[in-house]
Amino acid sequence: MIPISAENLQESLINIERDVKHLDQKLSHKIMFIAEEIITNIIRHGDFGTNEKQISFNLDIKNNILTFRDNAKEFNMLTHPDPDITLDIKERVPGGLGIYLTKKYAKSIKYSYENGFNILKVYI
Amino acid sequence: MKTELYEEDGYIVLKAYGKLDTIHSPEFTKTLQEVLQKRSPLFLLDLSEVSFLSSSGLQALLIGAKTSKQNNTEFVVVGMNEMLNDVFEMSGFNNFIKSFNSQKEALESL
Repeated sequence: MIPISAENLQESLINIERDVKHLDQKLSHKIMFIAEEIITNIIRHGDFGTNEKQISFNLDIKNNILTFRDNAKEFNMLTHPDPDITLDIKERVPGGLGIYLTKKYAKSIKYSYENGFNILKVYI
Repeated sequence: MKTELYEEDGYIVLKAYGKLDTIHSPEFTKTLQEVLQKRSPLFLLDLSEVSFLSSSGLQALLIGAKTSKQNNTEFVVVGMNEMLNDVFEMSGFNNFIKSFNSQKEALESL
């Protein structure tokens, strides 16, 4: 697992991008999209309480699995309701699209909470 | 984030460069909001040099489209590559923002 710095998200994303640059453009775009959405979500919305933030990411490119691990309070982001994408512009509100699109891109997603860590596995 | 602004008779073009991701989208949203204050009848957002669009970038587009609607400006996106277009369509943004392959195609169609 590669540690992700909540204080320097840009650098963390650049490091991930470096690892996927050699891949097919569509695949690398999909990986970067999911990585950015999930990591941003953990940093912005994770309730870490008094815990020192521990966020990490792993890319298993052989098996096409992205794994995210964090020590925020137990939260399964898959339970977040999907936005209604059929709404007219007047009714559309920002937010919720990141998780929604991650679900769309993924073949499957598994969530578990183990030993104080949220673990999200995204199969693409 | 680098942007270029062209003002023509009856329309404005804002061309963006780089990534519309969580890092760059807040600054881009500010630029977009400023440009839309010019209240042109037609606004073309050229994304042909943008390589990445995340939900933060979509949020910027939504804010831009909503502002345009209030100002009676037609807000149009041009030049998205296949990957950007996928994100755009999967989010249902094609229901309320017109998209064209190029500036030329947009200007000929509108």
